[in-house]
Amino acid sequence: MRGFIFLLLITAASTPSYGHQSSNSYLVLDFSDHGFSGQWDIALRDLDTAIGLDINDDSKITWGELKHSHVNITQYALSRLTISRAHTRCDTQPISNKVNNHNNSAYAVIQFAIHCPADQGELTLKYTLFSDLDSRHQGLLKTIQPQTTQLTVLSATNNELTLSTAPPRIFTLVTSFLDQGASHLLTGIDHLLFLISLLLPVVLLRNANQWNTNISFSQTAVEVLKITTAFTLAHALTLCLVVFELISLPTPLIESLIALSVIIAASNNIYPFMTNQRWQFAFAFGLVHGFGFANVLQGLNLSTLHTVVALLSFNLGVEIAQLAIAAAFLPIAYYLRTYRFYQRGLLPFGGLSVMIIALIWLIERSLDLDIRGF
Amino acid sequence: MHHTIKRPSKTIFLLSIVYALNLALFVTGSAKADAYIPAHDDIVLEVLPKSWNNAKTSTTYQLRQAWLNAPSNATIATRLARHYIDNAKQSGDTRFYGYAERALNPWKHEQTAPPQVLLLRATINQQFHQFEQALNDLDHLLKMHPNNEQAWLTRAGILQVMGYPLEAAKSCLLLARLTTPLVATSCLSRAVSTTGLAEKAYSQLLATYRNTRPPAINQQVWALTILADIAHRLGDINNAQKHYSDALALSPENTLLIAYYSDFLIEQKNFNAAYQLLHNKINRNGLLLRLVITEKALKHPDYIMHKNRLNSLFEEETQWGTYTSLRDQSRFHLTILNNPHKALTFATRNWQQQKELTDIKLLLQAAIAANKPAASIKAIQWAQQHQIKDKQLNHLIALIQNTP
Repeated sequence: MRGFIFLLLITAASTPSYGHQSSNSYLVLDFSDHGFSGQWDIALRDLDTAIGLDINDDSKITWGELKHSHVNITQYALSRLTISRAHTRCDTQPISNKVNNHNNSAYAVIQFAIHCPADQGELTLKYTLFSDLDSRHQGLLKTIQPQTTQLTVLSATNNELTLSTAPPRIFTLVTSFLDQGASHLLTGIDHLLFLISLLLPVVLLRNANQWNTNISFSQTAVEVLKITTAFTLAHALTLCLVVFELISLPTPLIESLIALSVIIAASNNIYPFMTNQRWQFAFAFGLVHGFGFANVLQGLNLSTLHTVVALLSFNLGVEIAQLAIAAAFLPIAYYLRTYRFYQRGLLPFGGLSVMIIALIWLIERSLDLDIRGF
Repeated sequence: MHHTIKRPSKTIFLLSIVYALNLALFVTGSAKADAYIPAHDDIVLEVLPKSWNNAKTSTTYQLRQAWLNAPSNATIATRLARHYIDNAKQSGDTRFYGYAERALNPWKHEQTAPPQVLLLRATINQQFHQFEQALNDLDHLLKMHPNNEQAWLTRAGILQVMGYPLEAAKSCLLLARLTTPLVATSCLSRAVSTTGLAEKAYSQLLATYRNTRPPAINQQVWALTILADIAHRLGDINNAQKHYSDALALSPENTLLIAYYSDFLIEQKNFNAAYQLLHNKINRNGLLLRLVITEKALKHPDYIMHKNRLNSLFEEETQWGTYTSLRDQSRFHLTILNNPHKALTFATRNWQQQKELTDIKLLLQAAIAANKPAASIKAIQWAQQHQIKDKQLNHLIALIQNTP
């Protein structure tokens, strides 16, 4: 008894917080459009107490020892996390086990997929990790949803969470879809090649089977604006029709048509057959590209108003990205157009390369085969 | 014509590059700590504290198994809880307070729990700055068992931290009839030394210390730490140094002692000695802060690394709102990041939690640095109302009151 008193003396002396942090785990749950997944980082120190990791009792936990316990750890942890949608429990499937470090402590990492039987409705979760071991344990939960990311500290007294499925705020919707629209164009190589192929000859005039440079910058700029705007209007139109489910086409057909559009646009630079009808062409195939964009916006599950906002923002994002490309492209092309290289090299041979690439896409997409080798 | 187009095109070109870069940053900017797969099975991921492990032969394991078999047996549960509190102190890992509290769960909602449960629960709540709950438990315990010396002692410590030194002193006086003279005098001297009676407290404790040797080492170390702290506050640097050295010789791993001693050395600008004391204590956050302060002064090559580590730790606490020490966070902003406004915010929040002399001084220092003397008025009033007096505190108050 006396020994115990002396032990507590120092606690009585002050309120030191000189220690490590308390026990915590880092849980990231990603409820994005592209499938639900999770990553859970759990401190080895806690796991060692709960299920025992140090096989040879040398006070050191090695990767080999951790690997040995992976099945146990995964089962232990995932059985202490319940995710439900519309009152039906979702299934968690482990994908991989890794290691992480937080504040100089080692954590076991479980990466897992989440499969919910219901595809709509409120998401709820219950967290009971180490509730039988540590009353001060905290789960640092980050939930990622299409429009929001939320941080929640889960504890013994606050171990349940309902993820609000309330409609997203207009502002986040706008910024998010502006970004998605712009990224989609900038990372979609087929859309880019189509556009650039159409824009390359804009800085030149075609007379009597000859290129000439007798065209003003403002004329060129107007032509660029016509092409990009026609493209945007067209794909906006089909995008709306698809999202509101008024029309639908099979994906392989659309993908093949997009490849075909790139081939035609590129061939125009080798054997020019359109000079004044480029914007009409951009409009016609813009309709096709619109079907391609629609993939991104499938399964939005938003109200009509929010869907309209999302659509408008997405289209505006695409248009901004197009204008940024045009703005970067136009002065350079306008400057280079007087060089023979531009007329005799870039146009025909660039056109040919793009045609070959697009031809491969066309074959691959129409046959649904992978023959690229890259 | 060529000339007319150059200027706008450049601007547009630059703008589009800026846009593209922004977009790229937006897309890639959400990186987090990356999980990895170690290269070999032999790689050591975690070294458990020496003082405990979960081997089947260990005390920890045996106590835990006994508890798992009889979780509502108070004797077994308090034995395990006490063992975990011991672990927390020795390893500096505060998770064990949570383990200890979990062992006491069956009595969670019981005001009239067994005395040992109440005492341990108070100790744990104190650790998490839940002072009111801790006092509540201690008062219940003392009503039933007025001779529980540890309860009086813990109560005194809590009242001291809450900014009631005179109330703390009363607890120490009630303790006097139950414990050794050295423990009682240490308790009392610590309390009254912050009420303007520092000289008297020092000489009284020193006399008792000399007359009652040799008591248990823990009692000696505690008395010496209090003696050193009072001497330091009185400006008696030589004696403070001597008491700290004596205490350290007795207990070289005592976290609280090292914290006090290193603060003293830092204030004396004896950074080399502070570094020697702290350099191998980087796993205890409070001590890491002091090491970073020392390394900054010494321009040590590890300074940036340790500073960043502490910074990410504090940032994470701020992000989640899981603060473990607002006092340390404030001091970090004040002395390392040179951000007096943030330091003041944290010092103010810290002062709302705990009002020890150190906390009041920190708030005043931050208020002075941030040039916001008004932010310290409540703390000064509190100090005057509760008789908290100290040389340096008086100096800080004078500084603030002379600010136009």
